[in-house]
Amino acid sequence: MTTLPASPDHTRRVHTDGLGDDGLAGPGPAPGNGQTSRDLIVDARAVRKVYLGGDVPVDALRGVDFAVRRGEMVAIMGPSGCGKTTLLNCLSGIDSIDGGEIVIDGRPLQRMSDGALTRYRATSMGFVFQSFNLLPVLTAVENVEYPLLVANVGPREARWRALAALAAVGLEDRAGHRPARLSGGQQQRVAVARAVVTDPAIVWADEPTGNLDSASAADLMDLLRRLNQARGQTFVIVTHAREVGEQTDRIIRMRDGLVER
Amino acid sequence: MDTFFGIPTGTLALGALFAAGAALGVLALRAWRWPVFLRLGLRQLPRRPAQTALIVAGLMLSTALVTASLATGDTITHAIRAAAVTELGRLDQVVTYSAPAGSQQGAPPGAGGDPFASSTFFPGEVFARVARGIEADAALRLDVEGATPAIWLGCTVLDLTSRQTATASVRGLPPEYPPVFGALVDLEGRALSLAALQPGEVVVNEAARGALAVQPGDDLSCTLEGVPVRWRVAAVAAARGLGAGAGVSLFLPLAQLQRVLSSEPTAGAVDAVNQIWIANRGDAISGAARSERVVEAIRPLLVDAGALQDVRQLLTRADLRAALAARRGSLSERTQGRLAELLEIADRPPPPATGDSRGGALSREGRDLDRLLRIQSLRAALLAGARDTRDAELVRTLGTALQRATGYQVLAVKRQVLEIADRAGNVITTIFLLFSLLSIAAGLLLVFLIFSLLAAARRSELGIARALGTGRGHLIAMFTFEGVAYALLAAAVGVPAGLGISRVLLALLIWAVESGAFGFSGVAARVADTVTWYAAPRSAALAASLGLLLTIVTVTVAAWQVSRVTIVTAIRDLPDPPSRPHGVLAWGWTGLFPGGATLIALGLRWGQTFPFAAGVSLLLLGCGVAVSVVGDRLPARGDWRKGGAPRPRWGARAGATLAGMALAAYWALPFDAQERLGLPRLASGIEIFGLAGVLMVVGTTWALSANGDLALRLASWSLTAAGRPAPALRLAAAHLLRQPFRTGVTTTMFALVVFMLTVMQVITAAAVHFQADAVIKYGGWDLRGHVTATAGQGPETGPPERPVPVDGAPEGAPLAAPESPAAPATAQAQPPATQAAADQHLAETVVAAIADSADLQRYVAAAGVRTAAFFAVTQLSAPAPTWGGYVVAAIDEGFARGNLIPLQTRARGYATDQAVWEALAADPSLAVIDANALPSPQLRGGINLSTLSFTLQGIDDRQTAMEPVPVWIGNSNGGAARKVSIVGVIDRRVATAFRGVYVAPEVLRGLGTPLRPATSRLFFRLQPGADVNEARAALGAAFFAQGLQTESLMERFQNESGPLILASRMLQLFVGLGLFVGVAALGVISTRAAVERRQEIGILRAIGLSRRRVTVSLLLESALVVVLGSVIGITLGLVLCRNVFAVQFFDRFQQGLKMVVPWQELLLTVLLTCAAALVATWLPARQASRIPPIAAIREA
Repeated sequence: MTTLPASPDHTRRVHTDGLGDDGLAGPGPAPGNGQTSRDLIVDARAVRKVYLGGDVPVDALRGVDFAVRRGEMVAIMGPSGCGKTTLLNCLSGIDSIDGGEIVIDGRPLQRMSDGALTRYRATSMGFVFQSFNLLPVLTAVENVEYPLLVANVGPREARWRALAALAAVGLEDRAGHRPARLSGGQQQRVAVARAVVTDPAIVWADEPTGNLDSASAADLMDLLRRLNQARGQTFVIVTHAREVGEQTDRIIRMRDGLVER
Repeated sequence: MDTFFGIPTGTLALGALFAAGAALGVLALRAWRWPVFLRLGLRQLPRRPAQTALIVAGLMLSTALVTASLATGDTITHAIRAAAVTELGRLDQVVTYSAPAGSQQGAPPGAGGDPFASSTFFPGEVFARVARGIEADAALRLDVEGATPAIWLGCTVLDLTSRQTATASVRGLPPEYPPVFGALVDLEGRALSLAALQPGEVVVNEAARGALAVQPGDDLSCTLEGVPVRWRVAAVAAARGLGAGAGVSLFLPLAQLQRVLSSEPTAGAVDAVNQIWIANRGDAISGAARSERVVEAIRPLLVDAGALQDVRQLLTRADLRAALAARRGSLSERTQGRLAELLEIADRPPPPATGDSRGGALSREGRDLDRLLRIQSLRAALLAGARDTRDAELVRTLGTALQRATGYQVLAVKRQVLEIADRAGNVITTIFLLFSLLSIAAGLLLVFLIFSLLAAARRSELGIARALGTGRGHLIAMFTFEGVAYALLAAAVGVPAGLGISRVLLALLIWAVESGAFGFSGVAARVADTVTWYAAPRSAALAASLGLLLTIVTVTVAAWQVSRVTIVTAIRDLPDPPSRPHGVLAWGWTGLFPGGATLIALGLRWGQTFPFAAGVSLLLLGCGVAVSVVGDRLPARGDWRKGGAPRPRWGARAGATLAGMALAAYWALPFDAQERLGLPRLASGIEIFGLAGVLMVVGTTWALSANGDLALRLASWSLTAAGRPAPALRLAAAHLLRQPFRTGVTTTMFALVVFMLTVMQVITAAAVHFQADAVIKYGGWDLRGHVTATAGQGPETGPPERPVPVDGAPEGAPLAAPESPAAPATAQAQPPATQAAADQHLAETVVAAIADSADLQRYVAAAGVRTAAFFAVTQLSAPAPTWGGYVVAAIDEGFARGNLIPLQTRARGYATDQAVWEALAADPSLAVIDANALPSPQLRGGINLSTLSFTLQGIDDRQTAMEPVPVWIGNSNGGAARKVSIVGVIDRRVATAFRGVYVAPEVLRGLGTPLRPATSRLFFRLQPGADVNEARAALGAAFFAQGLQTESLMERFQNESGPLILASRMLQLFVGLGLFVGVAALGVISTRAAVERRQEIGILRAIGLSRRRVTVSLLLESALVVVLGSVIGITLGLVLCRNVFAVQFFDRFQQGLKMVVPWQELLLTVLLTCAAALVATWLPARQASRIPPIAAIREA
């Protein structure tokens, strides 16, 4: 596996702080607690989300306060239906909120237009999904270069960077394969390469190991950890798996739409 | 087809091609800019080949259907046009001359007492001038392929050998006439040369073989322009090239014909002709498009500049100016404008004289003057003004000058014939246009449905792409690339497929018609000759570009809708949460009200239905949306109690129900409903019917979809006791309701297809019912004929033996007039009234002779005479009685007994139609009138019928019984009047062939001599099995002396109605083709449903649902759509037909078409469609039921 070059933009990694000795407690630092908002890459306050799908409205998030420092690797854990994926979706701007405020890297998401949000996602965010969600008609390298092309990077550079990202996840020899010809672990590694290829400030991962066996899951977490350490990128991971959470800097626990304190 | 929405198809095809090209250009630009999205879009095609094939097939159906319908329209139009121009061949324009009365101008030298003194002949030098003009004008040479001088005269020709008589045209042409007019070849295909004919020899065409039973060597006799002549037949020319045509023609060298007609038989001394033929470049039909330019270019070569100058000088006279000024107010606005233009030109200083008064370069003023003076209404206004002056000489002088100035005409004969043919073919092209419109609507829905489903299948991928930063524009581009790739494939396959389909259908139909298979009958002859497959390239281009363009637009709309995915729900493939429009969209609907009001005002101002109805529809939509919005904002009763936030409850349902039902009800109103409300009558074409159909179907389906849950509750309640099928049915209904939009679009599309089927079946049935039976159309008669009495054959002396031409008379030379058998009109002219009476008497004696002839009775079962003349008729019981002109026909007993003319209404007391006819012949106080005399809202206001024509009030088309209606018949020529009682109305189907007030012979005699002489026609009904040609020959030979000429009514029927009947049958086949669209839609939906519900089906199977029940459930889903769509389609189709027939829309094309609902055929077709749809559904349903439960659950 090739060592990833350190990203100059994201080297200000903040390691586990005094939020808890085991790093597993608390919703995260508030700017008032000696942290400036400049150190926070994610700053969410009183976030509410209501689903109106049926006759009875469902309060998925009931006033969540949440913050992540730049370069931090955070796990969000909790029982099914507690709102962790909803929180991830809202934080990443792919779902709207019904109350509160989310500021990512100093930019309030609610005030961004759909186009601006889309561009921001393309340049500053990466996503890893439980079901890999690679585009089936594209090869591995094409999947990885896709966000670069969307962000208007030239095709040659995009291809070069995509191959480098694939090499970083150990799949340079699978670059020409379509997803259907890759194993689950390989597909997820391609997804990780796709998530980090744009050098995003933050990577959102929703149950990244959920569809993997334990060996593949361990490999993947090693990969994410190394990427986090080498490039200083922020990772927010939603997971059920304790062993995944244990590898992160901090665990945030949720229950019934609220962050446990 | 020539026009589509009133726009020429050529223009439309170009526009559509341009638009499609522009759209492709924009897409190409985006593809160059965003290659990754092009790749993403295109790679979907090979990903699932079966799905790609299904999509391409679905899209192709739409393009193929439009192509086939346009091509078939072209074929029928072309057939009708080709049949119309057969007689003319390549002749596009004819130059003729009409000299002023009493003038010898234009006649050749030495014309005293000469047939060339006829006012239609002109010197051959005129042709030389025209030829020089063509040669000198480079632009004209590009339009004209050839020109020749000619003599074309009509006459009655006798075959002295076969003893048959026929009306014929005699054509004299220079032997070296331009080849463009077609060669003469004999029946073996050998070329015939006019130069090779000996004096006294002619070539006859193939049509003469049938009419005269002519053979080479036969002697023919006729009288041309009063000159009796005799020829010997040298050869029979095949019916192609110059010899084509259904009429009898004789051909001979021009010089010989000129010598025959000349009183000075010196070769070359006389070069007068009565026509110049001009052929344009192009083919027999397309050449006519150049006529306007050619006429405009030839015309100045023939203008008498001196005469124009005379008119110009006369127009400067003060007394004429004053008279014209006084008359100005009585002229139409248009004529006033033209008159002002004319007088303005006359006031200009005259151009210097050129020396050559005719044929020289005409000044611009001269051209304008000539153009204006050729307008009949303007000439009439000038002469009326001249009459108003006190100078009696002025009228004569001006009249003569006008005659001289406008004596030569360049007639665009081909174009005129084509215009008439187009009017005749309009009914067919109009119906095909309606079919095309409905096809496009159904096709559009199919395309939309396919892409909506495609988007649904890709929802998760699209969500991921959006999450990764793909913009909406990117998604639209990506999806559009894919759609356009499908569309290009579909167009590439669909256009050839459509052309092939129309070709196969035509071949199948011709085979069926000619072989009599499938019950086709009556049009066996000539169909293959007159109808050949033809598709205009513009139709193929229009279909391809239209298909492509519509697909691009539809795909873009679908892509736009797709791009609005909620990323989270899309990734997880969950249903989208309900959302309300915001911003401009939230209040944009209020624009429907001012928009609707503006369109209504414009519609009323322009007198057009389309903007008016569109405006009303927008208002109705606006009301529906308003109810929806208000309803959703009002709290429901329960919300107040709970004190919670108000939630949408009934607004959407009420709004959709109101708007949908109101739309359907508005468009289902009779088309004259607006008039009943006091609004002016608005103009519309058949497009409005297509639009009405689409909106009725959409409105009904919309309203029903909005209330589908109520139907489900009803179904659940009623199925509680239904036992075994209930779970499957409940499941099916639940799935349909879960996707109301998809269900609505599918139902709408299927309903539209059934709607189309219903409308076409009804129109076809009406056309077939009207046209298909020659026996009815011609009142049961097989032959019609006439005789011509010569001098001394009057009623007093009886018909003597007709004199036979003197043998030994010099061939080709004039026969002595008294010995001519066919020179009654000029050589031995009788007063017209006497001639008519003699003809009638002769006809009656022919009928009597047949009754006495056992030989003839082997052929003839019944014979009768109908003598008709024009009289004035009035109905005193009418609200405002006035005299109106009408044909009065006297029929003898033979006609009364032998005819099978159906009556649509008859007086009480008569058991059968036959009883009415027989009573009429015996009782001079009775009469029967044809249905054309009944009021017709379409025609009475139109230009087809003179408003001076008599109208019978108090009876309408729907009545079958009546009380006798007394009318008076008056003779404005003699003052006699007779009262008769109308006791029957002739059926509209035969009204045109048998127009008139039918009375007993003594009534006609009692009326005295009519203003115009009466004409007598003989009618013959043949014995069953008798050969028509043998019968005609036997009758012709038996009454050769009486000059009996007959025509086969069946042949006439075949010529007139063959293409129309064929088109009607073609429509029926097309209806079947249209059903493929509906069936394909259901197949697509079912396949998608099976894929979508794979996991659900697995779970159902795991919990114990049998395969059979899974299959049944999926089948029931389709069945519900099919049943609902069929009920909506049939009901609304019949409503539309009722409205269309109620306003007698088709009367402008064909009077008497009545709505006929072919219930059996309709139900059979719908049942077959349902069966086909269920088969299309069964395959994916069966496949879905075989999904192993564990596999599906694992996927979940």
